[in-house]
Amino acid sequence: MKEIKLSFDKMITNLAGNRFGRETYKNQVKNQVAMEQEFCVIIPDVIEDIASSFIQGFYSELCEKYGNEKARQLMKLTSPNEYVTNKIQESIETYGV
Amino acid sequence: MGCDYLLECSQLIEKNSKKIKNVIPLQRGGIVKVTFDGKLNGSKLAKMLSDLSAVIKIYKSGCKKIVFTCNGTFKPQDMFTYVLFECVLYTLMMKNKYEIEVKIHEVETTIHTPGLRDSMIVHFIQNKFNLVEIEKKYKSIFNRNHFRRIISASDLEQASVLLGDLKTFFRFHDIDLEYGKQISKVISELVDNASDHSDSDCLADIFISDPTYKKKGDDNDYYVISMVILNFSNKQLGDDVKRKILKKEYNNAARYDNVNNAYKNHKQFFSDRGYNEEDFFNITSFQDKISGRKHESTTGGTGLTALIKSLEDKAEAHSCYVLSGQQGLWFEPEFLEYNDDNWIGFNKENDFLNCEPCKEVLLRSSVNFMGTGYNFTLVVRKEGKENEGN
Repeated sequence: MKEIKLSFDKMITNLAGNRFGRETYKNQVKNQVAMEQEFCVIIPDVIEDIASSFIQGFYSELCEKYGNEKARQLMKLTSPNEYVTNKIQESIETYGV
Repeated sequence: MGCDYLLECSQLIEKNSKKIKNVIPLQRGGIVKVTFDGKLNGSKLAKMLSDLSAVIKIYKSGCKKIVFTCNGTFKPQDMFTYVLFECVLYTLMMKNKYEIEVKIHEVETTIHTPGLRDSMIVHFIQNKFNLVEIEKKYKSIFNRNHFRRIISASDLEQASVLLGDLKTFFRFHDIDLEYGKQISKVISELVDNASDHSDSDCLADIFISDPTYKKKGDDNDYYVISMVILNFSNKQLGDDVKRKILKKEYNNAARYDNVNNAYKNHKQFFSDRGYNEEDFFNITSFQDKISGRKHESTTGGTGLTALIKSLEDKAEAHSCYVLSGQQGLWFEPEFLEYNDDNWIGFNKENDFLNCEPCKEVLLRSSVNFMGTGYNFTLVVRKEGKENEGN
């Protein structure tokens, strides 16, 4: 499965914000994947926490195109930091994408 | 608001003008003296704004200086009240270029205003001629007890930076680590929401007291956390979602159809003096998976209510509300439950689709607040050192 590693400014150790999520997807992911290709996005381990607003923004374009379920199937969001991965899962389960 | 000054509120002053019989006289030297009641609340602030609006309109550049004199002890109703007063003083000083003097002889803090002695008003009194220092403090304060920051709408990364900095701020204190993270997330989500929906700068102002509060029959020590998140904008809280629902700007989303049906059901409850359409769309803004964003039908709604509820679950909540225009909602813990279909009714029935909200949650304000503002007062237990983890 194709893997895309995200990168952020050194000052950023937490991810929050719907618009920031959308922009990050647009700038770092969108043009790197073919239509309907499954892929995995890796959040760097310097990121210690993630807010649901970022996750929602990050998934929003794919969700509008394919619907929630297929968007989650196509794009897996993960991190070497277990806490962050758990937060992503929790957020998707509670708030949906 | 498209100006050189972050978070100025000249429109707030203008929109709160009312017909008044007697304008405050202009004295020799272009001085206007505004006397205000120390027990500052919404209606007294509304009167002050109306007086100031008249002064600005009628005297124009004939007024050079405004002297604010507090009658009695300064004891504002809550943090939102005095933070708004601070914004007014800043605007008069920086945007309108008046010389401002504030005379307050005695200050009394309450559980709703633990940070009053570290507020911007104190800086106005102390630094009345030091505009550079006032500008600096207005934009940012970061000390052990007080975190204040204005976040620019144009900077997309700011919510992330804010989240990290807030978590650091809460770590200075012995509150549950996860709870500190949760508060930080709520604040950064609210700021992000404000920036996104209204495209305006946002203020986050948080004060955490020393853990000196006690409850009857309880040996524990408690912190009081007082928070205000606000932005100034012509857009009100429910405007985007109202437009989206009434103009059907969503694609085949059953959940939005449900809101549309709820609107039809609720219309029978609307009255001129009571529950009305604006209240309905304010409540709709807090529904799960409902967003005012234009292109989102399947995502959206940041689960703000769940976040806010999570704050109140682990703390004693006092005076938690949102205000937009002259209406808003009290966040009463008993009315913050989702039902099985993930709707929040803000009522005893826990039914958003068919029942009107409880009257107690509907907030009315004398001040016409141009934008959206949140006020929270939370009483949180101090953790023992041995409970610190992670």
